[in-house]
Amino acid sequence: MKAFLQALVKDRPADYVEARYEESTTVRIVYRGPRLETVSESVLTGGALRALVNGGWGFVSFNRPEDAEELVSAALAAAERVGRERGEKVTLAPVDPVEAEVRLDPGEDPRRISLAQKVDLMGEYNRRIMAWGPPVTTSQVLYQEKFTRLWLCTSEGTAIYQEKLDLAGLLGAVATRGGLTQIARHGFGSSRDFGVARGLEGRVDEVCRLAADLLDAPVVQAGEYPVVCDPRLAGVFVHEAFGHLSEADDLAENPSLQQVMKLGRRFGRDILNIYDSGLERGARGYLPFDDEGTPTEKTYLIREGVLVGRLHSRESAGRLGERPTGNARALDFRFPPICRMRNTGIEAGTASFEDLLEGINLGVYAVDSYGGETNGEMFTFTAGYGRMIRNGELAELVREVKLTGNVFHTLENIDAIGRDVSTGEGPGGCGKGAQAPLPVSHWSPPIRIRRAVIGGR
Amino acid sequence: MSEGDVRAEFATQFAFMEEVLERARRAGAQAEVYWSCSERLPVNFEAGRLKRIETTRHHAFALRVIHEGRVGLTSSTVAGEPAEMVERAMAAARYGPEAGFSFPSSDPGADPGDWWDDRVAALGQDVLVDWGWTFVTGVHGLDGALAHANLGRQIGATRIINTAGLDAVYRKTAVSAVFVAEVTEEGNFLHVYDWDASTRGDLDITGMAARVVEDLRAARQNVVMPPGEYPVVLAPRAVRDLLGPILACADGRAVQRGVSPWRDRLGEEMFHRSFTLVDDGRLPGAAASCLCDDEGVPTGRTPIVQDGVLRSFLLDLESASALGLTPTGNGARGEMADGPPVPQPTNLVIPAGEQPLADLLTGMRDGILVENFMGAWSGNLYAGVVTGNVALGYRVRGGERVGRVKDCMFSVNAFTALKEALGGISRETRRLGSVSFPYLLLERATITSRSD
Repeated sequence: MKAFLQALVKDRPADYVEARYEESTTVRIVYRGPRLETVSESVLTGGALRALVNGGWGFVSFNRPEDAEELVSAALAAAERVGRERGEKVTLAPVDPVEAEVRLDPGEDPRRISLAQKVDLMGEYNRRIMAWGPPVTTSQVLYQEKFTRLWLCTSEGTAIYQEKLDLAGLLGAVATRGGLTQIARHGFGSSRDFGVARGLEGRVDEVCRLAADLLDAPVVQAGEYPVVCDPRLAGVFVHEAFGHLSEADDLAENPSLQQVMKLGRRFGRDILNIYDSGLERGARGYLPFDDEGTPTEKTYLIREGVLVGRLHSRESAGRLGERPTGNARALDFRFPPICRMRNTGIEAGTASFEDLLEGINLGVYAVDSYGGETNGEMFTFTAGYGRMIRNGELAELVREVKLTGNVFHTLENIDAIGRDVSTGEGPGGCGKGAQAPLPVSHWSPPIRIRRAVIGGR
Repeated sequence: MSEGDVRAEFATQFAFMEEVLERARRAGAQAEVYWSCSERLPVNFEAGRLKRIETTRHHAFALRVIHEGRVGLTSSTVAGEPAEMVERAMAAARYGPEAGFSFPSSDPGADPGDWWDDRVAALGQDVLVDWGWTFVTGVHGLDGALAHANLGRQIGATRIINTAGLDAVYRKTAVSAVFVAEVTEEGNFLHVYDWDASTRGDLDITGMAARVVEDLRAARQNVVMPPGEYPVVLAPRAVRDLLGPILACADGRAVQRGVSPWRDRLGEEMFHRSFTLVDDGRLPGAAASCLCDDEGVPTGRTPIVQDGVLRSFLLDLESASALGLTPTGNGARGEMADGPPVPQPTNLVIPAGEQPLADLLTGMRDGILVENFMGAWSGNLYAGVVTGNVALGYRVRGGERVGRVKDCMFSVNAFTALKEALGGISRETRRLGSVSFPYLLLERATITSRSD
């Protein structure tokens, strides 16, 4: 395969050419309610080639090798045309060519576990949820594992072979009463170890109890509150609210955004440190090399409240005169690499959980996340559920907790950071353009936001 | 390209499918083989400049077997060894779910070609690049805005065969355009956009560009919206978010599992009498129109809600069989056919009402026109909750847009809003790819905003 790709990138009339080839196998098991709904195995195979001519990009993707040569010509012609009409030269920031092989270094290797055993294990969890009894009426148990072999060759001499594992799942309990439905869930994930899917019986019991309790919980009263976010929600917040803003491909095209995101600008208090890293073995966002062959690192975005870095591809780094950070990622061979996150987190602070609650007369403790969205300035995301905070202590359960706010004000308003970082992983992933879901992680401690808007009635 | 041409051009793929089917049959299984291919030509402009031209050509095969009463599923992007594919599906069936359905035998018939347009098939880079330049040169720099554009042309073909004798083939064209203007100022980020997609060459490129410019101008002035209850007009783009709970509850699998509370409510008047919502898999020109769904069931016109009455769920083979209903042609697989078919809407239509939009706006003494939400998809849909940040909305007084409202959250219960608060439906409608919606006036919605 290496030779095939090297032939595709060699001696082409272009400033830079990179070719990828990928073979992946995905196993998916889905239980919903008493039924095993899906057992499937999918094979995704294909190649991609990207060419740069005078600052213009051409990109092609295919999965019949016989299409490759024709499409390579199309990519070169497209790049030449874009370069000609664009009228702006792009210089890729340099990286040293790398020849490397990254083999999977698994804990418990899911490839050594039979499909029957996986179906049985998930079936056990599912039966445990269904056996809980009313008001838990149905369940959702998902397991997915994707094993990928990925080759990358560039015209600069980089040749990398990588094996990757992405494993993720979800154990969910659905409780219903009258017309009301409430869901509680526990996620797991790993880039190396099937072990994370084992021994989750206690978690199953927790989600069943929570789903049942949420039926009796009132909808949170809309308004502005001090909010304590649990590690999962804090992680999703920093991903949505600041991670996306730090993706430098958009920034490189937008001079006004460069003014807003000037290095050295203060975004938060001294206690705030935000990073993105591909170094954490086992995290779903683990990424030894990105899809341009740049080795990974831990990239600080905010240090002691001040903006110090961003997430670069070689192009964005070249255009802003900065250093590539290993954040150019493509979902798979169907897409070109763009600036994406890996494991994005807030660094541990010093506060105990009690410290975070202290002094809050009326507030909300928001737990877990069902996802969020941002336009750069405003964000909104949905917590799994919440608890009211009354007189510095956790009080009653509330549901339908949805936060919205201004990214910049909210970062300034983070006034306490917990000391216990959660390395929890979940299913799903990040979306940008059509490229979703990309495996990412958000390892964070709990945080306190002095004021945030909670929507609803 | 006629159906005969499809068969000739993809003879290798077709022969592979037939061999896979035959091997599965010989292994004692009922089977279905799905194939699709698509060639896309995306053209991307960023910040007023041409950035990237792509060509992608992808094939996807899927095999689903029913063996000893259990379903096994596998997919692959390459026509590899037929025996391996059959083996994988049979292995999955050994542990797989019990089959509650059988594969359909009735053919959807010959492809009438309503979703193919020779003009679209012939569209090259030049036209797409021209459309992009037309937009970005007209908008980039206007009021300090950056202009971005994504244009695309797609041609594709699909075939589904099964051991019950079905052999459905169709081909399809599509063209799409997304136009964006972006302003970034300290404390004021603004994104305005318009988009459309069609199986025909009927995109209104200049009209879309003009709408982006109009929104850009109207949104440059921010106004405050104190928290409270207000009347709200939802523009067609925002209407899709309001429908989230209805579509979640009308999803046949959700009904089958009992997650949707609607199982016993067909025939019940659940919404305002003026409200009708139709899933129409053959709406001329609309982006999701095609011959049949991904299980070979012919597409058609399915009223989900007719004159306020819940009429139908969206059903794939499995949910239809479990509920004792007829499949509606809504079984859809993932893009690379790597998941099981599940119910998905095709094209969604809310028929036009009688009032001019201007009257709906004038009817609100002090209200909001919401063009689009952000994050309104992530609430508890089965409970009817729609809560979203107003990404682009205007405060409207006496029928006039007085400025943009931001940093606020909209919240309604879609079920009660569409029953008790639906104050009017505009006679103007817009097609946005696979939806065609009017503007809806809701007499009351909760707006939460920051106090400073």
